[in-house]
Amino acid sequence: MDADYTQKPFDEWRAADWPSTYQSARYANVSGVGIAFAPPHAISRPRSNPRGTVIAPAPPRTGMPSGVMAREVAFSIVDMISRGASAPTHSASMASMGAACIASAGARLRTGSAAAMTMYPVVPDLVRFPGSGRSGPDTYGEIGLAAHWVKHLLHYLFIYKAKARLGWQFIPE
Amino acid sequence: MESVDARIASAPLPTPATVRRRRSLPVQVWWFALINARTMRMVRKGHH
Repeated sequence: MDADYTQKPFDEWRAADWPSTYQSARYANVSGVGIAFAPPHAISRPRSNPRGTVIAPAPPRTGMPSGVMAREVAFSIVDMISRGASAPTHSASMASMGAACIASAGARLRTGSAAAMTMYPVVPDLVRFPGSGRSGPDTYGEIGLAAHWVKHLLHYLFIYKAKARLGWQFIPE
Repeated sequence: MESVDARIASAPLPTPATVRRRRSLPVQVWWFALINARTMRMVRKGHH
């Protein structure tokens, strides 16, 4: 894809290493989004536990980020087919998109629980956000009943959208 | 080496006040609105 796959140490990782149009570098009519593209490197600094076991979380490319990528690539494809665009017209770098995630931790509308978290951007950008690489106000987490309600609501919304029911276009990724 | 059960038993737990806050209807209704507002802000930032 349109990423920088140059092998480099953690201190040289940059937000710009990540792909933004997801177009294949070899075949212009092929795109790969979500887990279909190879990440240039990890997101977090690789670490190891006291026993030497490597702890290297793989970059998350499912859920909300993959939905956003797919939508933007679809728009690019539309422009390339119907308007004759020679290159992708939309972008969705993980260094310029945020993500929301909810991890359920108990059912029932009155006694359930979940952890809701948002992160912006998904891939840290130390140029725009010196220090942590992420926006403080947009990167947070909260555990409680409200997050369970949100998860419950999303279940219905996403199935409704998947079935293309009336107004599905207004349900965001 | 400490056993898994021992490590779980010594893990930090939320205080009773924290648990009450996480289950309080007025507090969680407010958080529900806030979580949705923040998520929508995230969605708008992702539009290119």
